[in-house]
Amino acid sequence: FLFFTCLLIALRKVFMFAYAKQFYKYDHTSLFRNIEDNEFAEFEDFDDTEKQTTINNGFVEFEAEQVEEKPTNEVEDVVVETEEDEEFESLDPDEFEGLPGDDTIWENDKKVDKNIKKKKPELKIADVPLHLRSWDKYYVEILMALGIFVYLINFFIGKAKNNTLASSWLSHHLDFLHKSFALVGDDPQNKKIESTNELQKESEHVYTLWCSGRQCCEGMLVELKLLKRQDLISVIAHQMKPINDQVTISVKMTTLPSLVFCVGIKKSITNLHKTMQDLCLYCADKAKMGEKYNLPLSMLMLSELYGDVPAFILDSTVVRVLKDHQNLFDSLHISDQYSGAKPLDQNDDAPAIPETVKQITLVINYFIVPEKPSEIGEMVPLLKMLIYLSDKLKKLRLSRDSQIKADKHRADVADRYLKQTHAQRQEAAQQKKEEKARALKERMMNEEDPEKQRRLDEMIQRKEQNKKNKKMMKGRQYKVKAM
Amino acid sequence: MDLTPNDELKGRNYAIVRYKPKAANASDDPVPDYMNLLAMIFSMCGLMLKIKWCAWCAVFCSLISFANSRSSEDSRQVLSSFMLSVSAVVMTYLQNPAPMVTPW
Repeated sequence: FLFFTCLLIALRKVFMFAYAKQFYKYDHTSLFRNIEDNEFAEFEDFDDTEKQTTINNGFVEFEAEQVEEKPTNEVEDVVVETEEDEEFESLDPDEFEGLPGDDTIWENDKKVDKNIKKKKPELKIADVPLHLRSWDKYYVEILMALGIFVYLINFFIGKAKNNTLASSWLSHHLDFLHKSFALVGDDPQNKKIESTNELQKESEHVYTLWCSGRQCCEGMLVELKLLKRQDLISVIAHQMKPINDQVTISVKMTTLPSLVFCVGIKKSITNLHKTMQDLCLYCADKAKMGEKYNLPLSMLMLSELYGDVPAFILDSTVVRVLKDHQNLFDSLHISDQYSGAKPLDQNDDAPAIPETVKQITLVINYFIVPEKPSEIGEMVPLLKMLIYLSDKLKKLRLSRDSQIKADKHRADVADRYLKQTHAQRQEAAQQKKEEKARALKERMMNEEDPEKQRRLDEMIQRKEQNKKNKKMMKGRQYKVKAM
Repeated sequence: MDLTPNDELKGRNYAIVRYKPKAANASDDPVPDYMNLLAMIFSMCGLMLKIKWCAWCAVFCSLISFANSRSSEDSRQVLSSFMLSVSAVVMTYLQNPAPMVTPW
């Protein structure tokens, strides 16, 4: 009977520990242990029954905090068992250590839970940081990496597409270019003058080709300004606001009559009229329709001279080509005063006279339809028309009136620039004079020889006196004139 | 009139002029320059202030700058900007390995 009661006590202890572990973490059990130890420490000299009661009370306190239902049962159990314990208070718990199911370990006369010791290696696992436990918490980073990956893929695809389009353009036009020019494609870094027959890549969406070796023509620059297919942001922007790939062909002429002329689709003409410096200066009139010259209704025309020049340029051949390729044609700009776009900084006090070149510029919209590669071939007649015009224009002789008018325009523009810069030049001249006088005075001050110093001083005084006299004379002249 | 030229139209007296590439103007396409600058600013913010999203933005900006850059430009600047942005990302995560906190 004694044995069975002792066994019951041991089993109860085991049960209580196990029960506590279910609800509390290590900290709580350690707290419990601490409380138990404290209880032991406090009531060390007391009987076991009292210890048991305190332990049991400790249990009750814990369970009252955490679990609502259980404490009542436990209290009842505790009450029952304390009664039992009172009967066997003489029993020493030390006699029962090491019983099967008994997980208690004695260390320094204090109970240590065996399981806790076992758990120690597990504690290390618990120290693993939270963020390394699951990768799904890094979903933003994964999205960013995915975005970079998608951008790179689009870059390579777009680059390849643009390269294909440029190569396709060149393959369609190379034969004609070889017939028209001695040099097709020039590498500026190569000292030898030889045709490269290749487009030069300025960037992933801009390709250029320089052709030279033709009479009355310095050279022809072809610029393929394609869409930025390699940039994902630009691709998305193009979806929202579609724009075209463009081919700009500029022929730099050595001889060109004095004329400024432009024809193109309405949108391009209005844009060019605002942005191009020579069109602003020489074509003050509004753009006109080209019905008189059988141009399509979608096209407008700007000209410095409206007499014989448009009729000469827009002959039947040119008009036919423009009509047949309306969808591709954007604008044609012929000017002997070409200086590019107007400078953005309009408030510049001293605008310098821009450098002008004689140039014919043709802009073609490059409609890309991958399923129809033949559209690239349709651009060849437009290039042929440009070469035809460049040859024709060198034969143009303006009428006497047109020539006088054109010369007068150019002289007026030059005067306007001179006036604008007049004040600036005057100020610069004044500053120069002042600097010279200051240098002379300094020389005089620094002169050691008194004789030389005196002479320099006299010279300065004479100059100043002359200036004053001149001013007085001018003043008198004005007075006389007024009178 | 037949537009196909022949050798006679080429003319015997012609001069070959070498190609002079026009100086790359920043006003032509300012995107790569602005993106390069933004990449550097974001990298600095990410490194100094330990802001993760700044570092990631710097990587994107340097990529956009690289995609829009001209061939005539020195590639070293774009490459250094990209390396700076990658180092900003690495440093911010070394200092604070926790995942990025989103505002929503």
